[in-house]
Amino acid sequence: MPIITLRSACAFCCSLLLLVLVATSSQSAESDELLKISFPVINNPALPKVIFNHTKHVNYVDEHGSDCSRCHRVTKQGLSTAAFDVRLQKAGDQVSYLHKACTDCHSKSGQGPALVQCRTCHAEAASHGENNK
Amino acid sequence: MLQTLSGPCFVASLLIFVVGLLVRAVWYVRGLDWRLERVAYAYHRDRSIPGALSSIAKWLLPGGTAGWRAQPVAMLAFFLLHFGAVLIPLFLLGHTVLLEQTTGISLPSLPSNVADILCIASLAGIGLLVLRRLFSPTVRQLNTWKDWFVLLLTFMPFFTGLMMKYDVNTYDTWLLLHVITGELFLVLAPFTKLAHIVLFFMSRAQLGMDYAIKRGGRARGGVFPW
Repeated sequence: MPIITLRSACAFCCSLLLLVLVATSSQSAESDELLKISFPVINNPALPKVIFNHTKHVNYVDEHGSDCSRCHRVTKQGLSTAAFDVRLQKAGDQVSYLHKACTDCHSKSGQGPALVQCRTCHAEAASHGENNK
Repeated sequence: MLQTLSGPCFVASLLIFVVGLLVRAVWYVRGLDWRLERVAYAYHRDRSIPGALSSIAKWLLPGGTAGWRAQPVAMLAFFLLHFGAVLIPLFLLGHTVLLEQTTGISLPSLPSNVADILCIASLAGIGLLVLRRLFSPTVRQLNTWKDWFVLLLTFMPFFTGLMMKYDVNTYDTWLLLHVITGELFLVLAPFTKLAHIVLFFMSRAQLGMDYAIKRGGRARGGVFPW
């Protein structure tokens, strides 16, 4: 009897552990910081706005020995929320600047979408980075 | 692979397309008889230039010529296909973004639903042309495998482009096929009947000049009433 009890306890604990592991792993995917790119402001955009997976990009930058300043500029008010120097571009050039900034980096890293893959980022319910390697 | 195909391969195929079609245009002029044609066209500029422009313009308009009006179904098929075939490659949003990023040239872009309608109309035009090739006795006599190949070459970029939008689950596969078939079209255009992209203008201009100068042009005193 004691052996059976021990086995049951072990099975119970293991399944509990498994449950927690599954729960936390799915939770970590869900808790990725997803940001809808809101700058530049575009009324009636032709394609869905890009949803940017901030967590994945932070992890990538960390793994490659860089920090926030890889993408964010330091201003008097602290780190700029927009990517790179997009706020410094002329209004008509901002979208094209972001296209270049995103795809240049993705192309150099050999990961994720190229400029021709419009719908990989501009997807209806995309979580940027989820559907890319 | 997509990076290479959409980068260096695209630039190479565009170069082959542009240079190849320019060579075809030059060959067209060199193929004209200098005594019967080139000297006459250059000497009678007052009639040759208006004649050329009128011939091109009228054949570009649906119903603009007696030739078009005599075959309304064929005309419908041609124009359904060609509105999309000219406007989509140049003015589709994705294409204009790529053009701007690679060359700095910024063109206005078509609204997405207009582009969709044009694309479906082009596919319908191709469908009608296929039926025409199958069932019109006069066209059937002339059919060769090359004609079918050219229709397939034209069909593929439209079809894969449309599927890219409506079959989002396999977006990347359609995109890859779209880039490959689009580049095949560009590369093969100068070597096939697709050279009519430029040769249409050359032959229409030449006929316009010819009919405004010779073939009763002088007595008529102006451009030929196509």
